[in-house]
Amino acid sequence: MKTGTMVAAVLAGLVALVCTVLVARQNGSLSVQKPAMKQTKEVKDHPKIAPHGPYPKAVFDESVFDFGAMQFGTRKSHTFVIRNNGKVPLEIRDGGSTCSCTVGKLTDGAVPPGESVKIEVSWKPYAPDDHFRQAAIVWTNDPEHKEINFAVTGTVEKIASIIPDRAWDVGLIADGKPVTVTGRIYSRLLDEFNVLEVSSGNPHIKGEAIKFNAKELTGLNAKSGWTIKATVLPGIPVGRLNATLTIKTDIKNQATETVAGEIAPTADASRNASYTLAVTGYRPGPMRIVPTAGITWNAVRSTIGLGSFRHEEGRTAKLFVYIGGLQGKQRIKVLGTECDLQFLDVQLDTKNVVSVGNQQRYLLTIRIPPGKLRMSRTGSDPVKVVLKTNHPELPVITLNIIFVSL
Amino acid sequence: MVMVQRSIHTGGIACRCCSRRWIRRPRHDQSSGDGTIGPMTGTVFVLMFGVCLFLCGCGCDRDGPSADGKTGGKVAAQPPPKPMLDGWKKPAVAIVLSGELHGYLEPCGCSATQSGGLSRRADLFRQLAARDWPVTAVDLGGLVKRTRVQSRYKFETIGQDYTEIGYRAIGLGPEELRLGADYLISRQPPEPDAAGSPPLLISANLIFYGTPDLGVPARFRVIDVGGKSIGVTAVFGKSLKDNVFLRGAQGDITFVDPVKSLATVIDELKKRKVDLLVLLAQAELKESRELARRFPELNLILSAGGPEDPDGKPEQIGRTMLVTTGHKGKYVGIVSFYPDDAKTPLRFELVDLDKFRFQNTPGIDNRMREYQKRLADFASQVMKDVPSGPHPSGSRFTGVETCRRCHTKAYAVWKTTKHAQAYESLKTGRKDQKTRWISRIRDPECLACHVVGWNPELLSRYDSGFMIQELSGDHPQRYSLLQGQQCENCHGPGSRHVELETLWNQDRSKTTLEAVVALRKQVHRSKETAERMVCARCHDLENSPHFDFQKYWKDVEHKGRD
Repeated sequence: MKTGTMVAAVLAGLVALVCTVLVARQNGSLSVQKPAMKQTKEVKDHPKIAPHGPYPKAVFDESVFDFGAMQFGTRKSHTFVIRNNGKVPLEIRDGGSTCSCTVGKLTDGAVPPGESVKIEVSWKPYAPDDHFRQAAIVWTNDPEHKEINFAVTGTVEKIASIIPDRAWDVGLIADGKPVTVTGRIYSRLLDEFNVLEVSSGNPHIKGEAIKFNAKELTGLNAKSGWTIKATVLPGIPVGRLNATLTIKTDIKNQATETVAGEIAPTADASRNASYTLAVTGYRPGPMRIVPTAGITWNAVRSTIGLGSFRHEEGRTAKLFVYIGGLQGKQRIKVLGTECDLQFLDVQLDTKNVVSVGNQQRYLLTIRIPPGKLRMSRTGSDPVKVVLKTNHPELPVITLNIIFVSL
Repeated sequence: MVMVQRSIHTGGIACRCCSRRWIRRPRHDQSSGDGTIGPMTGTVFVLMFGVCLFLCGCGCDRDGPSADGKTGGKVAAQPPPKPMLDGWKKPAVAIVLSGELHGYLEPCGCSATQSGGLSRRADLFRQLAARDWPVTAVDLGGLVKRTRVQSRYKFETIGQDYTEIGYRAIGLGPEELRLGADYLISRQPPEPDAAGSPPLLISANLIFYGTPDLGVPARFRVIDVGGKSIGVTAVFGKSLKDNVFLRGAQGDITFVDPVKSLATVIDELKKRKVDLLVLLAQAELKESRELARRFPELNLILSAGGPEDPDGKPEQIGRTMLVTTGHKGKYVGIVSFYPDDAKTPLRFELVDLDKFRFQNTPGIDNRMREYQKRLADFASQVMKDVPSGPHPSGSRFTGVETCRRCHTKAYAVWKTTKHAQAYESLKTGRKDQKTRWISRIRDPECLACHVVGWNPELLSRYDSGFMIQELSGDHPQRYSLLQGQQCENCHGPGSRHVELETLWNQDRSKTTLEAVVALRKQVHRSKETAERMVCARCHDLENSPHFDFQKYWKDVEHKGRD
C-alpha cells in the first residue's frame, strides 16, 4: 500500500473513531448534559407592540372571579370585559389557558378605541379542590398589559365530605372502657340531607348521628351536616382492631362503592349515597414495644429489625417498652435471659423508669458489639431472646431479632 | 455503542440500530482480482463506516419525549419558557422548596406534556450545581396520597430519591401521619448527621407515643450550607387537625398547640444564631399568615393550602416571605438568600419542571424501574392490599369475548380502538417512550384504567375484575380475558345480562321480557351518559389532558345490536 493511501486510510480511521465516540456518548449512559429541548412546533405570536405611542389601553374591572363553591363534574362560566381606553386599536389574541379544564372564548382581533370586548371563560374541574384556581390568558398590544390572566377561583366540592376523610383511627382502646370518637359529614352544596343509619359489621362498634347546630355549620362553612359518633365497646380482643363503619344517607344521584378503607361516590341516579370507612384501633396487652429511628418492630411476629450494618462497627438499638398491669411503685424485673447468639446483649433498664399514664416506660437496649462475625439473621432464622420476668401477666417475653451484619 | 453486523447471505452490511443496508460488498471483490481489499476501496469503506456510525447516532431513538410527546403533531400555543433564574446573581444559599407531591414520581399523570417528576427535579439540582450555587432543599410533606403497601414502597422510593438529590428535612402532612408512627420511625436514620443519611422528618408540635424526647420527629434541623446556617422547623396546623385527628381518639400521634410549640423551637434556633429561620407549615394559608404575624422573626414560610398551580408570587407579611409551591410536584420554589442586600435579602422563583428546560436523570429513572420491579416482586402483597368488593350491580365481569358472541359489529369497532390495546400499552408505552419505558403491568395505579373490572376513581378492584397472572389462580380467565379497556368498563359487568338473554333464547318460561328489557336498559349507555359520567373516569386532566369528547367519541361510537 502506498504512503499516501496509508495516510488517507489513517485519517479516515480517525474520523471514524471520532464519530464512534460521539455516537457512544449520545447513546451511552454517561451523564453528559444534553441540550435543553427546543420547542420546534409552531407557536402563536404575541401581538406586536408599537415602538412608540400612542398605545392602546386595556382596562378591565376584574381579572379574578371567585365562584364560591361548585360541584365537581359540573361546568360554570363567567364573562370578563376588556375596554380599550386608548386612542389606537387594541389587538387581542387568545393565549391559551393554565389548564385544559378552563377555556376562554375569544376571537382574535382588534378592539377600536372606546369599545369593549367580552371574554367568556368556562371551566369544568375534574376533581374536588379546596383551592381551585385556573386562568384563561389574553395577549394584547398594550405594553402595560401584554398578557392578562383572567382567573377563576373557588372551591370544588364533593356532594358531601367526611372528616377525617380516610380511615378512622380510634387509637388506644383501654381495657374495660368504651372509646367514643366523633367525625363529621357535611355538604357545602346541599341545603339539607339526612343520615339514615350508622352501622358496623363489628358487634363491638355502635354508631349514631346528630344533626349540626348553627355554630357547627358556620364552623365548616357548610349548608348541612351531621356529627357521627362511633363507640368502641369493651370486649374487643387484644391486638389491632380492623372494622368498618357505614354511613347511609338520603343523598340522591350518587352511589358509593362500598369498599372498605376509602370513600367515594360513583354516579348512579337510583341509589342513596352511603359511605364506608375503615375503623382501626389497638387494644394493648400488658406490654407494648415502640421502635426508635431506623429500627423496625413487628408486633405480630414479635420481631425487632436492626437493619444492615458493618460488622466492624456493630449496632446498638434502643427501644421503649411500655408495661402495664403493675401496681403502685412495683417495677418489672428481669429474672433471667436466654439468647441463642452468645455475643448479642439485651438489657432492660429497670432503674430509669418513666410513668406514662397507667403504664411504665422502660428502655430496652440491644447491642451487637463491633468486630463480631459477618452474618445474616433473617425472618426464617432470627435470634431468639427470652426474658423471664416477675410480671404476673408477662412471665416470659420472647423477642426475635433480625439483622444483616456485613 | 452501535453494533454492526455482517450479513453473510447477501454480502451486505446492516447497521443494527437503524436496520439500513448502507453498503453492498460483493462476495468477491472484483477491483483487485485477488480477493483482497484495494486501498481506495478500503478508504471509502472506513469513511462510510464513520459516516454510518454518525448517521446511526443521529437517527436512533433517544431518551426523552418530543416536544408534545408524540411523533409529529402540534403543541398548544405557548411561548417557550424563560431560562430558570434568569439574570440572578449567585446567592449565599439557594433553598429549593417543594411539597404536596401526592405520589407523583413522574410528571403529573402519564402524559408527556405534563410538568414535574423527580427525574426532572434532580436535573434542576444538577443545573444549580453547574452554576456552583450552594444549595439545600426542604419539603413540606404530603409525599404520598394513600396508606397502602404500594404507597409505602413509593414513600421509600421518594425517600431514596430525596436522599440522592440532597433534601435535608421533610415536614409531616396528613398523608405522612396516616402512614402511622411505627412506620415513620422505622424510616428515620439512627444517625441523622451521617453522610448520605435520608432527610429528617421534622415537626415542632407532633409527638409520637406521648414521648417528646423520642427524637422522631425532630423538632427542627439546622442546615449548614454555603457558610450560612439555616434553621428549619415545621408545624401541623389547627386548620388541618380535624382531617386527621379523630376527636376522642388516643392515637400514637399527639397534636400539640402549634403556637406554643413553635415559640419554644424558635427560641432554641435563635440561641443557635441561625442566619435564616424557615417554617414548613402544614396549614391553611390563613393560619400560615397568622403564624407569620405572630412570629415576625421567621424569614420564610412554605405553606400548604395553596392552589395546585400557584401564580408564583410570594406574599410579604412584614419581613416574612410566604410562598406555596403547588401540588403533584409540577413545580418547585427556589429562594435565594442575599444577606448583604438589606432591602431584598430573599428572592423567590416558582420553577415549572417542564420538559423544555429539564431532562431526565438516569439514576432517578433507574429507581423508578426498581420501584416497578418491587411492585412485581411483591405483587401478592401489593394486590392483596388493593381494596376489593363485589360490584354494586351484583353482576360479574365476563370479558369482551362473551360480548362478541352477540355484538359482533360493536366488537369490530372496539377492536380498532386504542381501548383494545390499553393493556399492551402498559408493557410498551407510547411510540416516543419505547426506549425508556418501564412496564407497569403490576402497578395498580396504572391497571385501574387499562384492564376490566377496576374502579379508577377509588383505585380498587371488583371481585370479578382483572387480576395479574400470578394471582389469578383458579380463575385464569381473569387474567387472560380481562385485559384492555373492554365493553364492561363502560357498560357495567355483563354476567346477568348474558344469563337473561341466554335464558330468553332457550326457555322463556324462566324469565320475562320485562326483566330482559330492563337489564338491556341498564347496560345501555347514551352519548350524554358517556360524556357526563363514563369517559372522564379515566380520561381525566392528568392522564388525558388533550381529551376532546366530541372528537374521541367518533372513534368509539357503536350501535349495540348487530
